[in-house]
Amino acid sequence: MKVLYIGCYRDGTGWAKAAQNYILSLDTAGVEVVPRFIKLNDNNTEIPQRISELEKNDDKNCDVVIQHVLPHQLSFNGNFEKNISLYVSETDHFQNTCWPERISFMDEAWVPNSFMAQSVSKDSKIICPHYVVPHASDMSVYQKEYEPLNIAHFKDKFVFYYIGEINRRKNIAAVLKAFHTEFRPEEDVAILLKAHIPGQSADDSKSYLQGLSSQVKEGLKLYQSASMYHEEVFVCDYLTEEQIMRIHATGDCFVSAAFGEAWCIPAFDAMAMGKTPICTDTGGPRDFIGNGGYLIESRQDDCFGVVDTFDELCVANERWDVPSISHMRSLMRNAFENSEQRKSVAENGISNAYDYSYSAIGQTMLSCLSGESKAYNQDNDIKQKHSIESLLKCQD
Amino acid sequence: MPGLVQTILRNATRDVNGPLNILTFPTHERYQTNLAKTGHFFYLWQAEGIKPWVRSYAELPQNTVLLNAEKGAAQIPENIDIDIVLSQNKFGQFEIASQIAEQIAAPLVSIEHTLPMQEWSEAQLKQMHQMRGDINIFISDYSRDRWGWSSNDAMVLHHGIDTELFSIDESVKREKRVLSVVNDWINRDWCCGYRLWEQITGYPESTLPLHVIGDTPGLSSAAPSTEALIEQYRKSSVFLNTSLISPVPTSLLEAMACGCAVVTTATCMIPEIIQNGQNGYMSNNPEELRSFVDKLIEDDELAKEIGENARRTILENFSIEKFVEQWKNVFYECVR
Repeated sequence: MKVLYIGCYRDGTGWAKAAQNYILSLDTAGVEVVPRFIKLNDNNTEIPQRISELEKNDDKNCDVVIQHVLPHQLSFNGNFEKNISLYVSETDHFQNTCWPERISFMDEAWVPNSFMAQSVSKDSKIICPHYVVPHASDMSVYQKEYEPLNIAHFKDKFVFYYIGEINRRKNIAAVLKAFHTEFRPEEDVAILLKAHIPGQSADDSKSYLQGLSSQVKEGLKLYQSASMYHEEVFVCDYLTEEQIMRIHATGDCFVSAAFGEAWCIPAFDAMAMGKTPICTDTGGPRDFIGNGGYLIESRQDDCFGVVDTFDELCVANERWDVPSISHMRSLMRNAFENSEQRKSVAENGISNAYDYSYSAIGQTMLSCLSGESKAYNQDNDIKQKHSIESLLKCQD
Repeated sequence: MPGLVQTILRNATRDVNGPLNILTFPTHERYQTNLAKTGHFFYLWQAEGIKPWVRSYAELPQNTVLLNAEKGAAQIPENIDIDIVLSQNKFGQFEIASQIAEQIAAPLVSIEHTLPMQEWSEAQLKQMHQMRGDINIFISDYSRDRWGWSSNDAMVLHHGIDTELFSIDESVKREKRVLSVVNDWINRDWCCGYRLWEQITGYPESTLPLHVIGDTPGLSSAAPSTEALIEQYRKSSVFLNTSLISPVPTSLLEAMACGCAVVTTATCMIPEIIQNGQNGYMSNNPEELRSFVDKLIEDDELAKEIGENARRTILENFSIEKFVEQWKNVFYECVR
């Protein structure tokens, strides 16, 4: 089987990383894969040598095309035996967009977590079968030793940390709220946020985080002066993958209070490094954390305040998962105080990560490609919806 | 406009040896007619500032489509996946072409038909090196040198003349006459050498049998058709070209293909074509040019020999077959 894989794997983003790992998984499974990239930004980052080699493969006579692009970019092409959409979303639906129609044109769709697949199975507008294909990771990355960052402030302290973008969905304010509320100034804990606003300078991102921290402390009103709270460490520069892994090596426990996550690569990396991620019970983390970290209890609520993405996405008639800050605090306290239990959770996490190796995900992809997997929305009577009669009825 | 994904899918699924979809612009009608002989499909983007297609110069080839300028940025039909974008000049076309090529992730070929302005500095010329496509082409070595590009940067593709159409017809008797073919000659004296022609021929009191074709009010009118133009080439023993600045004087090549004995200025790329006294005569001295004309008018045998050699030159270096073959290679190389 020969697969044409279209994705933005040269963009230097988390999405690019996911695409790279899917390509390498297919390759590991023995599938002849032909990667072709699209660019969604101006970043010019290096890609794995193996993908450069695969790019040299002839793109003629591919049996299947996997389009790992934004759904409005999807394009069905009848020359392939199968057109597959690989997409993500972070709320319970996207009916305000043209995405359901675009996705429905494809033969099938792959999504990275079961939460998405379940949502889609309830969505009568999406009429192509959906399969869950989790993100893959290169296990050799986690087997290396990384030197922790030399930050004097962290000496002899338990370090909570976050890695990711700064945007409304990531809900960074909640991490600060939980940390400062839970831990008194005299406790030996610290917090590091490696975060940036896409497209903005490191200085601008740092200023934003400093402002956010001040607002949170003012709002908490726990101490008379902001200087009495724990001091946060903000890292806002672009870091290489090696440097990111050094952040993981520096921290003790990863925390994220995101309202929605299709996967969350930093949380997965943290789990695979034994850093017991504490994440909102949603999306990707709900699937992969299991007993290898901690899920924060959450409740579904209407989206609000997302002005940093497409106008039609994350609007208020969509729902996402709002984490309970009090539960998050208790999980952080538990991680800090219960070192024996945390050690066991860390070991589980390291072990669980191997379920997402190139070879494991490659096999999942292979079984989807060969039609051996069961679609999540198989009971939706997709065949009936794809019938000529049904299409004609739509046109009427 | 087709999306990035569509372009990739098109590349992966199109017939390797099948016709490509090429987006370009109305430029030189005769040149486009020759490009169309590659068998690919050409879609001509129209916009303000881009010259229109002039049907009196050439009919639109069947595999060439004029797009609808009124649709603006949406003028590429949705069901057409463009394989290549071809810019044919750096002023007006290149900017649009490079934007479209980037947007649809298609390779960009840049050919330049014109010469740089004489007043441009070295620095300005160097700056224009940034206006490059994935493949860059000039129409002569002279033109490439003038733009300051090296053979590593850009290739040269000579014009092609349809030598079956522009050919010698033994049944047509050549007359002793001096033909020149130029449009808007008087106004374009700076590049086409109208005053020089007057100086050489002594017009309007010339004793030479002069014949001028071209849309020049007060002097001459255009041939009603390509066939009528060819007939005039075939009937004339001598062709006089006085171009001063012309990257490639197409009428000179056409006259040579039709077996005219040419007398020409030695400007721009002409020295790359003419071997003095063998396949034509060239000089930049008006008196010498006149003496060449006189000599050929008087000696029919010499004119015939020079004319036959001229045709051989065109067959060897400027044939349409060679032109088409080279462009086919460029286009397929682009999408390989």
